[in-house]
Amino acid sequence: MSVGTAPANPFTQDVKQPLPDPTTLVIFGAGGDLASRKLIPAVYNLLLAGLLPDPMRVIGVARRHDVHSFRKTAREAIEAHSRTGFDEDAWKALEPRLEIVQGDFGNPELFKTLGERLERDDARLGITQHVFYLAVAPRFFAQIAKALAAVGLGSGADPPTRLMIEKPFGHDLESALRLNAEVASAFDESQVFRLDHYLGKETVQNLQVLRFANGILEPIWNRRYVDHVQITVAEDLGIGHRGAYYDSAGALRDVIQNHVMQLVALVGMEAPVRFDADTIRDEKVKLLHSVRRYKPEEVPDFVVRGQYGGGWVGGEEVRAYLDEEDVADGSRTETYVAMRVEVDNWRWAGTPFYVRTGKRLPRRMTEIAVQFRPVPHLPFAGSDIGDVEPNEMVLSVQPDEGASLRLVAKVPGQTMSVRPVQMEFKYGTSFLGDSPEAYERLLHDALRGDATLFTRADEVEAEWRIVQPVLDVRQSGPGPSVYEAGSQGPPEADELLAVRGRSWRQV
Amino acid sequence: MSAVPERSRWRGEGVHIDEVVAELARLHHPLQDGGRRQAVARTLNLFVAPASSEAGKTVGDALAGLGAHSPSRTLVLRRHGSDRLDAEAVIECELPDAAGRVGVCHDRVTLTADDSRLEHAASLLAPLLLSDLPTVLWLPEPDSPIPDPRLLDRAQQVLVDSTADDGAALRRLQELTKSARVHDLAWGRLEFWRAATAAAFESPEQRAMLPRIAGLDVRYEGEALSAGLLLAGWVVARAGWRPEGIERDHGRAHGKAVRTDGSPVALSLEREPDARGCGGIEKLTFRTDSDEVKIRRGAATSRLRDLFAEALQPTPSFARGYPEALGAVAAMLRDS
Repeated sequence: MSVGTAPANPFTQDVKQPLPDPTTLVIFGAGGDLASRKLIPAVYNLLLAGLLPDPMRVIGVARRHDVHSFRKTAREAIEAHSRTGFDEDAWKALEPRLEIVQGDFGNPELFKTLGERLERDDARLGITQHVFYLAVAPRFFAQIAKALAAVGLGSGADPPTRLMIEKPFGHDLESALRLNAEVASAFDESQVFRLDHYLGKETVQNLQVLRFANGILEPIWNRRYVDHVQITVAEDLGIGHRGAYYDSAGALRDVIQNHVMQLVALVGMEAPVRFDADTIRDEKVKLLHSVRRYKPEEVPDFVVRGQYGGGWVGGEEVRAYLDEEDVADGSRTETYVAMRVEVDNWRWAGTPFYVRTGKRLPRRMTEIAVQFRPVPHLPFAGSDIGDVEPNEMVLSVQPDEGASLRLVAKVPGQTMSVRPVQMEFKYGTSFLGDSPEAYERLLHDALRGDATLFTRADEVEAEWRIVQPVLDVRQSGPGPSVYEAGSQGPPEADELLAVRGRSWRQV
Repeated sequence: MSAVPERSRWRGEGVHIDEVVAELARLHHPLQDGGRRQAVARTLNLFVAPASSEAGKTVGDALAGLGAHSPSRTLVLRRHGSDRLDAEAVIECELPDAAGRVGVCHDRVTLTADDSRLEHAASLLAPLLLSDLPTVLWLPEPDSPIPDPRLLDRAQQVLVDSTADDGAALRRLQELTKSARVHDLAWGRLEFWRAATAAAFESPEQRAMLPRIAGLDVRYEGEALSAGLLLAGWVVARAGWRPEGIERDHGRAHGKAVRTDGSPVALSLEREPDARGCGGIEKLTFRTDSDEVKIRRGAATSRLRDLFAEALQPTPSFARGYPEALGAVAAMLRDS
């Protein structure tokens, strides 16, 4: 029988999750922190779970490593960071698949060498796709993308290639547009996988299932029943050793423009017709385009910026932001942002989304709280039950992934006393399997070519368009308010919500 | 979450089931205090059918290993020779290991009775069932008779593990699949092999070999002949081959299937002494007269907890193809 009339593959029908095509994963920045903490352990756990193709190999690109030091570092990274621990047998299977190409990203010879290496090995090993993961500083993204294209590994490459890059995608609207254009000159948009690791988290994915697979939620998920939405991304940590990066970025760029705007889009978007990458991303972009862009003079009324001073967090005294390593004297960079986001569409007009993020808050916590409107009339006249807290649905993204719904119930006894009670589920108790690490999920999706959980160029640009007016005012307006480390943030943030009895949830 | 559990326990001999229900409620009472940082997890009812002492130990180990991930209410049946009902109820709570966290509690009731009571096990267990939760019947020894067939009516699905079987249970399971939804952990463990086989025949070049396959070799580990049979049965069923007899001899099995063009396919299952297989399988080889396709496990493993979790779902991701595989195995064993 000739290949041209080969029968259909009879074995695929029982496979829910097909293995990716035989792949070479090329990690630029293989000697860096991201590769050690996340990528190599993710590859290891995917291998252990039987989710990698055969053949599959990993080529690290780094300035200083040779293959022995790369393998040694990889082993140490797995021992330190793998969620499933370390297994010698599995390591023996992975170790020979790790290779290195040494060189400088600025040197075209590196890419020539890499291209020749890939070409030589493709036929020998039966590799049918190449995935390039840029675990490098953002300033190298465009340079590497163009250098790959220059040696025939960009758009139209044979075998096909994919490019994975991780936020930040630009540092403002203009640079994001430029980066997208430069990447687009080298790779087709369908080849580009922009990674926001928040989208790999179970609760974030569950948001869509919760909304679109539960009939009781959809009728009340709108301005008629929802009073407001609060999205909180709180961290107890300071900036650590990232002072140089953070001082030029700030919380707006680091968290609001990407993670928070993704959460706003997922909470607010319309139901996609299909669960595929472009349909979902179309709906997210529509929602992001509906977010009101503030005029410069409006910004102070809708946005509060803060910067942590000294204080106590977790029983430890911590220093002020201005005293952190590599922070410029008198820096005006914000470590806290609270923002009122108005979504001007039929579903949400008049129902604000209050979003906030901050460092050195009392604890690490990411959650989405949908607060419903209070009942129009309480029929318990004379029972002296006082105010009743409105219903609230809280989706906890971290540290404990789960969801809860606050109801009000009568306290057993002779009197009509009420108190709020929680109906909740936690992933660890309702689903018995371990959740994969976000990077495992995202890496596996990228190897399979599923872009659903990745950010498209127009999404990134829509996010920047929302944040850019705030960035513009930041340069010229007043500096951030100082808040005590370990507090709930600057008091001005409370005033953003101080209408109709609204207040921030406690961090 | 901390690995250190906290246990509340009650034990009674010669008891009535109502006492068990009452004692269980009493053990739960302290957990209903709003100030506690522990909560009972409620995900399903799990019945465990009586098993020999050897299989019973496996069950105990599996349940203990599941810890906070175990089902919310596990009802274990045991057999003894006395004309009375003995019971033990245990609530086990993980201690929260950080501020703001909640420790997960789960409970387990062991009922020990004689055959005459076990024949009415469904009525014995009914008062202990949590409403509105799925119910799973775990048969630790899939080839042993179910003490009370009405247990099958109570359960939405039956959980088994046929890995260590020599093939006898597979025939019985094939019968059972006609009346119940059977989730076989052995089948779940073979998920990697199905995906890897599908991937191996994804290219047109490899698929072109399919009509010329003349042999299928399966190398399995330890006592996992049954896993090898299941995998071979699945290949036979999906390739459209007609299963014929298979001979088993000291851990080996040799048999034959027939391709659609009438040509034979030799089936060979052999034990690999030092293997650490995935799902009991170390290697799978398809042979034509001139070529072969080898599928190795790499480092793939199937971890019990993940698999258990998946097997408890109403429709596990690995469910597809099981009846067909069992059908082919049953036909091979019938003709042998």
